[in-house]
Amino acid sequence: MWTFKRRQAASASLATAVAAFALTMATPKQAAASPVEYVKVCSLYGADFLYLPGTDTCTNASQIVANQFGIARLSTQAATGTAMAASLVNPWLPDNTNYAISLHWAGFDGQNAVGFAGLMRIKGNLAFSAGVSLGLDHGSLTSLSNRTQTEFGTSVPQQSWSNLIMLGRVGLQYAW
Amino acid sequence: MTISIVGSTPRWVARAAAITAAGLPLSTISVLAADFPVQPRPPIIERPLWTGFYIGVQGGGGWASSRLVDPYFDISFTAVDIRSSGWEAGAQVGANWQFGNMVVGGELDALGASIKGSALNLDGAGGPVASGVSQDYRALATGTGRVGYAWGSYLGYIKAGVAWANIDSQSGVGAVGPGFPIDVDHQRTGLTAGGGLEMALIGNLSARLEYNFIYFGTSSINLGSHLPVNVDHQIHLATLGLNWRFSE
Repeated sequence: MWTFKRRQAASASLATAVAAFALTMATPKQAAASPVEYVKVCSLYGADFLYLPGTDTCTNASQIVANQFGIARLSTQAATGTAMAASLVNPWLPDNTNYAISLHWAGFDGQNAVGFAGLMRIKGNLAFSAGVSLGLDHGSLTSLSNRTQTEFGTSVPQQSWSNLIMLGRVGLQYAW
Repeated sequence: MTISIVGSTPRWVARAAAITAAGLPLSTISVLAADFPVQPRPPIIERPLWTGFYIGVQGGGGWASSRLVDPYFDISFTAVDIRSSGWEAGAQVGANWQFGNMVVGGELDALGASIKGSALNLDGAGGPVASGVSQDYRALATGTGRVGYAWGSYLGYIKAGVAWANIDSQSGVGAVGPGFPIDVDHQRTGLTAGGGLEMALIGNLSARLEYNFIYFGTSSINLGSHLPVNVDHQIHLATLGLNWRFSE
């Protein structure tokens, strides 16, 4: 719940930043005394582009919302990846042994992962090392940017996601 | 002079001692001969019943419940519960290692399925709102680890792991009329847990009864328009299976 609220706040400040950037871009054009008329056809950029009133800027509100979901998904993926990396713990290979395995769980920022790693002695002090990790990436975001009033109530952009991500690793290990 | 050779002494030491002893009086030699280490016969280890690889087939019934939440009110303005039921059948491959009564192993399962359900006349179904949604679970796969307890010819076990599904979702828009004109095929990945009871039959065959729960967390899919709806899936499977164990 805490991370959820924090992401909401992050997306809100992102939206503010985007709006502020749009204003700074538009201001010099407005200030120019030049009588050049720009063809005010926002549909040039796509069907969903509309003028921001008082500016020469075309904006696509649904694209802003889509970007927020894209960024939120990437941020939970990064946390899941961190948990996955932490779950891959290399086992050790004591004398008189040829195989070693390790199974670990790891959690980070509300995401969970399970890693399975193994060592196999090839010859002498040379060992083959391999590992695989599975992470359950999940999250949810309610966008603060768009609200649409319908006959049933207020339509709110809200999306969830929940997927397994896999990570693999192979290598060699030599000790002396 | 006293020479003693214990059982763990390497054979060459014993031989060297015997050669050295050849020069000694007869009485000493006879004492040594009695103490020569006897190479122990390797014990016959009986292969545990469940150890080894196995393949098999399975089939059974499936029941699923799915909750659809549409924050855009594109399809429905209240949450929609879709209950599905049907059958599934497939194959499995796995391996077990038995230590005393304890059995650990892993298994891969692939199932073809037809677990169908729908919800019709959704709330707010007026104008461009959907007349209904339907779901069909067409394929399932799981990869699980197993821990079991063996007694007699029985093996009771619990299992947990990861799951994959191919789910076909359809929605019908009211304005278009009856039927489901919009068809979306999507893949989900999630978690699974379950348990079962396996019984060894004649030869290398064994039969099993198993229950599995599969969960796919809430995730957005596009259904009917570019505005996604949030859907989760809970699937219960009850299967009967037949396995063939490979013995060395």
